[in-house]
Amino acid sequence: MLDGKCPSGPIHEKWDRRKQELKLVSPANKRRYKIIVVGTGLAGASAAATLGELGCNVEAFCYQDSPRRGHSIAAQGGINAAKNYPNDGDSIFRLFYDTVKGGDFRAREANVYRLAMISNSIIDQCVAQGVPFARDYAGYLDNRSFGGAQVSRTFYARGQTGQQLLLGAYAALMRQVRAGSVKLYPRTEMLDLVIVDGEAKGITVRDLVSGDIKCHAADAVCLCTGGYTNVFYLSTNAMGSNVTAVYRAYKKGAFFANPCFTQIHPTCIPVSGEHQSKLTLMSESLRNDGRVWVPKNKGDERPPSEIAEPERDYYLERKYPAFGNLAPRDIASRAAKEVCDEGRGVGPGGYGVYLDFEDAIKRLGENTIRERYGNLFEMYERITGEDAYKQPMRIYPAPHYAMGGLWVDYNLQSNIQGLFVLGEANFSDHGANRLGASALMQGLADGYFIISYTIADYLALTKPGSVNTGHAEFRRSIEDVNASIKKLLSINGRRTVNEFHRKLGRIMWEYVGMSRNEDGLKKALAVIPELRAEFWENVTVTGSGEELNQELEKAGRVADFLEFAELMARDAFYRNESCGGHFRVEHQMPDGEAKRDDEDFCYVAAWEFKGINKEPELHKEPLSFEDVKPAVRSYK
Amino acid sequence: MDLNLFVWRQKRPDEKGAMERYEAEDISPDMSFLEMLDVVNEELIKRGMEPIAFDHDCREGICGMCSQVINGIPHGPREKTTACQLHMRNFKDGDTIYIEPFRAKAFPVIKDLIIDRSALDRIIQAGGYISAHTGGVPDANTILIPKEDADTAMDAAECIGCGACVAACPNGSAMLFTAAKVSHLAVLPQGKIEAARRVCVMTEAMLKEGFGNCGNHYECQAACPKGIKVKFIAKLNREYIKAQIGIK
Amino acid sequence: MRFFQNTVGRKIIVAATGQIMVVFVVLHLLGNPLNPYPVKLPDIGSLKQLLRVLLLLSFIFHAFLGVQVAIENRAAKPQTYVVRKKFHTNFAAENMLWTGILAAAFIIYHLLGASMPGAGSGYIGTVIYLVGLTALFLHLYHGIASFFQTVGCNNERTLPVIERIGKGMAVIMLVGYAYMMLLNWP
Repeated sequence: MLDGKCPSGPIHEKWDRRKQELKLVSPANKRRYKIIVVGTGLAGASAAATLGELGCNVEAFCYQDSPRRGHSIAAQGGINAAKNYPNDGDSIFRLFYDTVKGGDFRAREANVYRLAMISNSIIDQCVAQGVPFARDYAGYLDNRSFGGAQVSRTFYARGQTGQQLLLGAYAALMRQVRAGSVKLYPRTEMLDLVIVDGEAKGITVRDLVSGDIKCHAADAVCLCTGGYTNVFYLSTNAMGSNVTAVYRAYKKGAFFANPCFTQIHPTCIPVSGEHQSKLTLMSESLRNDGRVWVPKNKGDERPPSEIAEPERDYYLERKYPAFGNLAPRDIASRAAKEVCDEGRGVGPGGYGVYLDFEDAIKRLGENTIRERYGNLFEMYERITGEDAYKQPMRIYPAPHYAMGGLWVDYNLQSNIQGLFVLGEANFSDHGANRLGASALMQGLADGYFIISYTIADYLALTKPGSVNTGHAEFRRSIEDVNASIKKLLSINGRRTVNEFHRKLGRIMWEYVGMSRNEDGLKKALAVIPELRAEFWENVTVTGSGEELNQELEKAGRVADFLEFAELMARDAFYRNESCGGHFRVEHQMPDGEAKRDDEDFCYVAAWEFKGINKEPELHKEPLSFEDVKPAVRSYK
Repeated sequence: MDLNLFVWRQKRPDEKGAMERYEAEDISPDMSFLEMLDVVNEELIKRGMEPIAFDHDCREGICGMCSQVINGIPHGPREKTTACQLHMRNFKDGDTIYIEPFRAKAFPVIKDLIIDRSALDRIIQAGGYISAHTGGVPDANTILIPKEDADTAMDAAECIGCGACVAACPNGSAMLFTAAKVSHLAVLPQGKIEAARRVCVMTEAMLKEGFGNCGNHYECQAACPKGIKVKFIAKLNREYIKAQIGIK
Repeated sequence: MRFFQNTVGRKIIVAATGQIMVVFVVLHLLGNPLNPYPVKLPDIGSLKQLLRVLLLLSFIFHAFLGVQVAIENRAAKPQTYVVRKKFHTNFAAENMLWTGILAAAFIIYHLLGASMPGAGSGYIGTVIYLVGLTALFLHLYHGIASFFQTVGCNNERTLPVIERIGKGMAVIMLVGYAYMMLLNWP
């Protein structure tokens, strides 16, 4: 039985109590501690900047050429906070409640409450940094509403909120680099976690320019490496987003929690052909003003303008009158798949639904719509060649976010001492489904306002600099990494890395995608190891290890995806219930809603690695709900 | 459609590179430019040849990682569009396309189309921030910002740091990049406090990194995938004069 | 001294000294004894010496910093593109160094006492004057408007207007001086 080590007391006092309990490191001593931060998205950049500012020695790593390029930058819609500026009935408790309910009661209550509490400080922090949030004419901050909420609590900076928040965190990080407290390692990829006497003491990395394999020792390691939805090959993640860092930590003993909880985003641009390399998300905020519909009749191939009002099915408004087009992501996604499976989808291939702005343009004028979503409409036009002011957009769901991740306790520490996991890379706050505009909130909460307190508690009990890279574990790690690179380069098969990745993606989308069933999952568990075996016999990786080699980088990542995919399918197989983004067709309400099984599955599934081709061991952290009563998650 | 490509190939930073010719066959107009390169690379790999190395990541026009000059234009012929968002419907069958890396002394080539842009990070390090501590800041709504100012700040803050401005500039100057950050922060009340120091240290850092001086050619504005305007360079110049004569 | 090493600081000096010389070029045209419609400039007496010093200093600073900036700019772009498309820049903007050097040489030649080419001055003098005038014209074609951007007196609305006025001024200077050259031709 796993213990999340949540503090005791009433929910609104838990975080304060914990802060009181946590040990501190005196300012003079902080300098002596070295902390490794891997990844420089919202969580990583904010953590590295904050820890550096507090006086620790930080080393920050990212695979991109600059820390400003973490994929948080692509988040469009906004960031939630319980400020209640619009006076529409919001509160910390309501944000907490909405998040727990949105996550279909599979998140840890205490974590979510803390997140809701901190949300307000994040907005203050970002404004102080100069993030140009949208303002009203009186100069106050503006809010918009978002899926899964009946209040307007989302702060935004045009359609580039993630970019602006990340640039804020990046600027804070750059300030610390200048101050000398953070040392930056761009174009550097973590390939192994080094554990000494059961505690995380460093990482092994590959310099992506020279190909050098090197070790870095530290007193603690923070993984802020994002999500793994590129396991589907096509997703809204960046091309380089990968599971490698967290997966290799998993192989070193860190538990992987709820890997099957992935989110499919309802508003993405549909696939246009076999060549497709990634999917582009259109911010969910579009659903504020756009109406989702498909033709009532199957195979209706007329252009949308010729389909009259009575022949259209506004299926979200019909099925979920209270939330309408703002139904939560998983529900909206499945509803889209459903109508397309019925043969009522639109666009090439029939896998798309309309998102129509005609009414909004009539009501608010084209200028208002342009002001709100101008950049999204432009982006849509660039990709599809269609003008969404004149004809409805076509959208379709796409893998977008991983709620699952490495298991962490309330202090964001994994089961391995000294290993902390922040942001999307951990599992903690979103349960089985994440509400829109909450990812940015979590990344920054973890990085700015949680880790600095909790990591100190660990450091206070640790002797600084106790391990250096001369230790045998580091040498072994380097040997392992070198051996696997050598292996990849020596196979010289006939199929490219991309071909394997694409094939894996198809398996995952088919069997472990939006809706899953026992037979499909069994099938996935059978074919993934076959594909993996073929990969290790037949993949071809050009070039050498001693140079910039993008094929080699990809090969390493895909190799990890090929192992991780099995874990994900296994978790989906064992979780014999439907909840949030995890939809098992065997378990649904008569109206097709997800049917939870709180009796048997109200727990966090944390998996322990036992060897490749061996079944991992399941550890359970039971979830108890004291402040929110688990109810049927209804958005009708 | 079929295309003729001439691509800059260079194995290492210190090696001499050259343009090499490739054929891209059966290209769909719905592909992005980078997906077209993916197809070419898959072919090269299958023939046992080294694929073309190019930087890319988000492929939705926001991370700023792509860095190619396509037919003499950073990010290619479509205005306000990054290479990853440029789609092949902008080309026609039989076209010849020249693909080169962003060129500037401050952006040394690492391999093929990949360049080192860390100089831009160092310009930001010099002072492209507001020195706010984590925590201890006032409630967000105690700082009122006129909507027009917030909008102007956002116009400048949209910079994705790709370096197309440097690539397009005949002088290899990073003035538009620097001006965007200086302006974004100087417009906001929170940023005004450090504005004078910021504009001085950032412009000094720009020169130190080996970028050229602004010659008012305005090629940067034409190349910027986010449409950042040279009016921000005028703003930077203004901020610099204000800093010199001590106007707040 | 940081001002004189700063990229913007130097450009402001180059722009300001350039504009001072532009004023002189305009006045020189207006009050020129060859001008058939001479404008009577106010007699400033001893101030004249001071202005001469100002002009000389402007010339020195403009030339020195201009060349320094141009050398740096060339160094910042060591390799050009195989194919390159231009959008806004033009021949004049791209050749400020060369037109500047030519114009400077011409001015020195002019100051050394070479009067307007006329009867008996021969073709060489005429060619020198024509080349010098053209170089000056090209230099001003980019330089006059550039001044306003460099000193920050510019925004989206004013930019195209200032550019047109600057280019127009350059054309007027070219036509004005060329016209007087013609008048001087017997």
